[in-house]
Amino acid sequence: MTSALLAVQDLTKTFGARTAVDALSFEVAEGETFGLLGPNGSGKTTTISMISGILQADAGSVTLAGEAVTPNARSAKGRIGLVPQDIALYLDLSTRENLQFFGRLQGLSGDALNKRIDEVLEIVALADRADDRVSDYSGGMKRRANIAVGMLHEPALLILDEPTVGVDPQSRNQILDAVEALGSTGLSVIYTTHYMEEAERLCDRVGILDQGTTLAVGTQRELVTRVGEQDRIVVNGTFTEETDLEATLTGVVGIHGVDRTAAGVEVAVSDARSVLVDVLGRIGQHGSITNVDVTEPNLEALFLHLTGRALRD
Amino acid sequence: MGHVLIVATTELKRRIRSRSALITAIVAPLALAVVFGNLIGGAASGGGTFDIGIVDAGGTEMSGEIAAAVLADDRGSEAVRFSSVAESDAEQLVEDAELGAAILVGGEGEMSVISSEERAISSQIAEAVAHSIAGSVQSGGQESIPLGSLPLGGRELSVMAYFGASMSGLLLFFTMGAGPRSMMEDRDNHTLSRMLSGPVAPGAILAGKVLAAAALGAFGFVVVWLVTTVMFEAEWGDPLGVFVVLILTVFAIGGISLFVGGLARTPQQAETYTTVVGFLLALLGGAFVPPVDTPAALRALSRFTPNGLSLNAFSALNADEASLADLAPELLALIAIGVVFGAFGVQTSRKLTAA
Ligand SMILES: Nc1ncnc2c1ncn2[C@@H]1O[C@H](COP(=O)(O)OP(=O)(O)OP(=O)(O)O)[C@@H](O)[C@H]1O
Ligand SMILES: [Mg+2]
Repeated sequence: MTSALLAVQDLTKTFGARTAVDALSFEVAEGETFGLLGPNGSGKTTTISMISGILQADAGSVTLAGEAVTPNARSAKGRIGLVPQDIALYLDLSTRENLQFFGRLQGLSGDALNKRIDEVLEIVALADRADDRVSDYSGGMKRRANIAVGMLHEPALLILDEPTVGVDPQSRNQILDAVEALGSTGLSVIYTTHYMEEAERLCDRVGILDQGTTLAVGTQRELVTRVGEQDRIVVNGTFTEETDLEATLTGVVGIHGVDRTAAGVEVAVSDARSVLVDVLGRIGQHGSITNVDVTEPNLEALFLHLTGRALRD
Repeated sequence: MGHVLIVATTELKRRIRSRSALITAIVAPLALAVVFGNLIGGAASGGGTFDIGIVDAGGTEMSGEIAAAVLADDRGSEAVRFSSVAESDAEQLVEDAELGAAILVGGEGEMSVISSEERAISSQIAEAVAHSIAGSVQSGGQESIPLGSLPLGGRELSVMAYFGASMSGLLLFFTMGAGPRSMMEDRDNHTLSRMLSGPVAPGAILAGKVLAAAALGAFGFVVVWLVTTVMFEAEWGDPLGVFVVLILTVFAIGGISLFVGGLARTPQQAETYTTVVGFLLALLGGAFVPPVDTPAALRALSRFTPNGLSLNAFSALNADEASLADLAPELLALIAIGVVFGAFGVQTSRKLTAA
């Protein structure tokens, strides 16, 4: 990738005997939203701490637009915005005061700072509560305030570490909307999560992280192809013998297999939409259908495929 | 420097809002000044009288004259009253707290003091009176007996100023400990990581925290200085000198707090370590007992503590009317302590930012 804004190369970090991040490499392009998807303890936060220059890597490198990012690289760090996993705000100050404080540390001041504060408050939908103390906020509001501080100084790269953990659905939607909007403005974003739906909705490309290393990196489509590119048509109802069902479906193009299940039958196909009517028509001749569901392969399935484990336990 | 000030002002804002600044910089110093002021009993206080018995123990002409002269001297302070007591009763009266202390005048004009350990201040005053009488007798003069002052190697030191300075020095340990403690709190609530993710040096954050604590500490010290001066007529000496010594005391103790705080891993540890070290150094520095009675070895040791150095400088200011130039050794030593320990502290506190 020629237009990579961020390049992570063989990044490694060990804590005692435990290797939290193991020779991890990936790149994030200008304007891209990159997802780091991995279960608890897979090394997302450790990776991000090194990328944002909070944590010294044991080995490997992080470069932002060609400039090395280390704990002492002040100018490179100034171009990165971090939204940490934990709420990192002074609870005894208002959101506006927090924004003023962290904004000044980032080198903003005066009217420019105040104007930018109003902008980010608008983005995270906290403008009307900006002068309340953060301690009086709901969990979701704290999360949004946390995000506001991270993007205040208009970083080239915004890193969000599981920003929707433990929030109500409404706040979660507001957060996803905000990230989506930011991504569409040409900002580069790294978004870590162990929620598949979020990665699928927000990210241009995804890195699947497990035990400190990426198992796969690519667009959703690319990754999903690796699971075998099969959709599944799940048909519930009462049917005759399996052999009959198999026989009746053999003529359909793009069918990969038929499995009887307790509730009915599952059909693996290349593209569910093009064969759905045909498949249902044929199955219908051998029994009665009560319910139909189509599942497309997703990152969840990919993770299961790659590790043999579910993403969340 | 910009980052240091941003951190310091926000720290102050938060502490003012939580009222901890009010307690640290005003309430505690004010309480300290008023309590000590009344205990020691300045002329203006009206309270806290010390009864000191005068015993003509020698029974000679000389001892009789001296005793009579002291008893007749009512130009002193309302805070100290003299009465004539028989030698046989003196000890019992002091023990029963009828008397704060008693001065025995011997046949040759030599003097000794009967005092109770429980009433350190009364005995200090009795000691002071005894010394000044002795001085007065030697010079054959008719000087009035300066009360509320302590002899210190032949010098007279304002008791109020002495205890004001020493207690403020002790208080500073508590005030300054807030700097490293706040840094650890920031680590625990993740705001430290957030600051470090920006273009901010860890040392600047710590310096900002310590600067805020120092500002409150210096403010509290000034409160003690002003209150003891205005309400209790303590004589600290040349205001510019006092101010400079005060600031450098804050600087030195700030350095030590940084060092001690840097050794701690949690805010609670920081609190405990600072308290222990604070008391220890204050004790060695002569905060509780003026060096008049302390053994020479201890007095020498006190010169290596910031409290001892600070007290020496303050004493010189009020007793000898010393100039800043005279105090150069003490002042340089205070600066050195601040710089050396502060540098160590900044170094060790880097651990905090690695976690
Ligand atoms: N400071 C530390 N000291 C020791 N071990 C650590 C430290 N930080 C992280 N680890 C370990 O490194 C591994 C990766 O942790 P990390 O926090 O990066 O995971 P994560 O993917 O962010 O998990 P989560 O989804 O729970 O946030 C874990 O096994 C964790 O216990
Ligand atoms: Mg994490």
